[in-house]
Amino acid sequence: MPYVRRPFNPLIPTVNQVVNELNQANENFDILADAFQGGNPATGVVLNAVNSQNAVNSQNADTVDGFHASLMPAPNVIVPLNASGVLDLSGTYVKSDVYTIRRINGDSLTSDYPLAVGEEVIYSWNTTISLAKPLYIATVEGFYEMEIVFPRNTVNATLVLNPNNTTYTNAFTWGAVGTFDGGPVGGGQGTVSGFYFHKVGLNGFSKIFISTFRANKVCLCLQRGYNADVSAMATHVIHSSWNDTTISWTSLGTLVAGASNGTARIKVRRLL
Amino acid sequence: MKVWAFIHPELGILCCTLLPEAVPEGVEYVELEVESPDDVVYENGQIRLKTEAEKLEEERQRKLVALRNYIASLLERTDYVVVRIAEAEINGDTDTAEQLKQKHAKQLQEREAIRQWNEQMKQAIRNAKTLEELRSLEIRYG
Repeated sequence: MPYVRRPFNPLIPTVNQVVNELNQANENFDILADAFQGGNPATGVVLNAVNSQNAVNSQNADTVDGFHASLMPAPNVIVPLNASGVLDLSGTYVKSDVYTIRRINGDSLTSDYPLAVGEEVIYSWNTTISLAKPLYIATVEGFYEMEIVFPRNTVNATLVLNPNNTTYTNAFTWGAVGTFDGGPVGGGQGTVSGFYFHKVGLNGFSKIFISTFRANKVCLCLQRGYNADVSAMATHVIHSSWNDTTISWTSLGTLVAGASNGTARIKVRRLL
Repeated sequence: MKVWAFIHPELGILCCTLLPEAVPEGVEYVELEVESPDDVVYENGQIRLKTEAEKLEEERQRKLVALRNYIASLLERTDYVVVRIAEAEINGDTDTAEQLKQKHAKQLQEREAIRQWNEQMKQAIRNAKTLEELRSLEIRYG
């Protein structure tokens, strides 16, 4: 017998009305009781809440998938965003084994990805296959950082970042101070067509701070690597500036190596 | 690698994109196969590739600049000796100037040796006939 709403019809007499309607009422109570644990609505435990079209509020849902929720971070606790929309984990020490909130494999990108603040992209660049590595990152005015590690080698060639995947003839200047191991401190400067990171950038480790503001498009590079000009390890600080205030830097661009040197690893992160 | 070369519609300068989609819409371009985007030049209204001779000369100039900077950094260490001697001579104090020359004779000889080596290096750079020959020249004194 199915559930029948309002089984009693006192103003419409029928044959065996009292028995029939009381039986229907009993059936309704059974259906209701079966929805609760132990067939007892007094437990307050619903057996199968399959769906809720509009669960307005629950003062104590106890657990979700077995986890409690709380504003105070703790092991096996779900922490909600606070009233300002911030995930505030300051209440206690929180450790993350994955280090970042999100890391993207840049080698799978085929069009510019809008990197969020704190997000980072990693790449593997086999320079024996291609001397150019498009980074496929859509840039907005802000700060980014890039780290590049090449194998130490005797390759003597430059490393350049072409913003917007484009060279702009003689629109960039660079200047460097540096020293090679056992040698004097020296410097250099020049005019080029992209952000220039010196030869040493192709033979070691470079950390590059990047400002993408239209009126201040600059890279500052700290570098340690092998300088084949002098056959020694060298350390450099290089600034490279795009001397233009009209063109927006909308795509981080393409790295171009002057010669192949094994496989480089690259990490790009948006700071602000 | 392939590049797509064009004249930038706003800047009026030669640009090369490394991705075809980076060419501004509606702009005429030339598709080129290059060793480096720096191999493309714009001259007399024509976009073309640099000749081997132009690449050689460019590398020669780059090497000469690197040598000049290197020599400057080597001489910088003993510039104070020359300055002190020059100051004494300007003041007419020839005795002090002579004393300084004797005292720093070793540094002055070293400066002369650096200059001679510089001339030899410059000659070697100017005489280089190929890019490989140029690139193999190591700029390192002593």
